[in-house]
This record gives sequence, C-alpha cells and structure tokens, in this order.
Amino acid sequence: MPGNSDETRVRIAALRKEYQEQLPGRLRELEETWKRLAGGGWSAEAFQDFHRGVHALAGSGALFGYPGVSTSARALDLQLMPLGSGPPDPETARRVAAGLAAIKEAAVS
Amino acid sequence: MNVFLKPEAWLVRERMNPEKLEKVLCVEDEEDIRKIEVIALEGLGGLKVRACSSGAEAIQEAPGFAPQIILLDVMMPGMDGPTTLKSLRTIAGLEETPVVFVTAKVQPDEMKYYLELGAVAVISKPFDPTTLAPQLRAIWDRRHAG
Repeated sequence: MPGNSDETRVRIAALRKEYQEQLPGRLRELEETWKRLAGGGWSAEAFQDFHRGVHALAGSGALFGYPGVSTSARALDLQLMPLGSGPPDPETARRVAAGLAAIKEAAVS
Repeated sequence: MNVFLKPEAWLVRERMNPEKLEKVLCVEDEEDIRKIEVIALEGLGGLKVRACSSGAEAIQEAPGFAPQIILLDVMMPGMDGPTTLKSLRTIAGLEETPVVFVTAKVQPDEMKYYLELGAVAVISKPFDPTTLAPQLRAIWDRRHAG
C-alpha cells in the first residue's frame, strides 16, 4: 500500500535542500522585521507576521534537519505570545533580538 | 510521544464504523510543511490527500473531497485553525468528521482548548514524517477500540 520509498526519500531530500537554501533568507527577513518593529516602525500586523514566521520555524526546523532551530524558535515563540499590544521596551527588544540570534546560531551549527 | 488523544465520547459514537482510512484533508499555510505532510501521507502512508493552504480553501474543497479525517494547522493567517474547524462543522456531511490539530502550540491550556473545540487529537510540530500516517491510522482505528 505505501508508495515507493526511494522516490519518497528523494522528494524529502529535495525539500530539505530547498529549506536549507531558504533558511538564511527567512532568518534575515525576521531580523530586519524585528529591527523595524523595535526601532519605531511598530505595526500590529507586522508583529503578527513576525510572530507567525517564528512560529513556523518552530514547527518546521526539526522536520527539515534543524532540531535546534525548532527548539530556539519555540522558546522565542513563547516569549512573543504575551507581546503584540504595542512597541517593545528596550529590554524586550533585546531579549527578542537575542532569541533571533539563538535561532541563527542553531541554523549554522 | 507527540500525539494527544481525546479519550471519550467520540470513540463510542464512531466505534461501529468499520471503514478503512483512505482520505485525508490537510490544511497548512506553510508550503514546506504542507509538502512534507503530503509526502508523508501519500508517499509513505498510501493515503489519498487533498492539501489546502488556508482555512478558506479547505471550506471550499472539503465538501467535494469528503475527507474521513481533517489534519488542521492552528496558526494560519486570515482564518486560523479553530475558526476553520467551526466553519467546517456547519457544512453538511462534515459535522462529525474527525479533526486533528497539528501545531507547535502544545501548552496544557492550549491542548485543553483544542480538545474542547472538538478536535479528536493533537499532533505536535515538528512531527516525524515517517510516523504521521501510522499516527493518523491509529487515531482512526481507535474508532474500533474496545
């Protein structure tokens, strides 16, 4: 009943490669968005997109061979949950930036 | 262990149905995760899958596809998973279709909320692609348990 496992493995490997190629760009985009949000360009919608981007990494990292990305992104995802009502204070901005740095580090280790 | 099951009434209600699990509707906005779900369920699991990228698309596709189980992401832009579930329940033929949430949000209060909404189980992200189909079959087979 199950499909051809060799073909499936090839498809999964191709998806992993695609994810690997896209990951640096996704992280860069998140960093830039957070800089804007914390640097005077606050928007609730942009924050939601940012939070969704972090949440997506939490759900996908380990699926594509980056368990550390999932773990770090999940930690940041939890930190972001109570936020969103307005621009972050400097300490929150610093913590979120540190969370992003941790994801980035997990992506290259 | 990354699957959480609702333990009670659904089992009793569905226990008599001996159908085999064949058709799954997947609703996931993240393209890469959606592709993995399709590969895991079709390629590895031999199931027939209809994949949707949003709650709105799922509401459009579900009646014609008539899924036996719906795999539903929680955090999606626009219509989120819980809202999609509520809308699906208003469609004729889908009132009782088992829904499994797939999510990275698995805090105890979140889990309680999903099950109260009517999900029969929650699979946590990241999931293992090689066990996704067996997990769904196990959820489905609980219909015949006892």
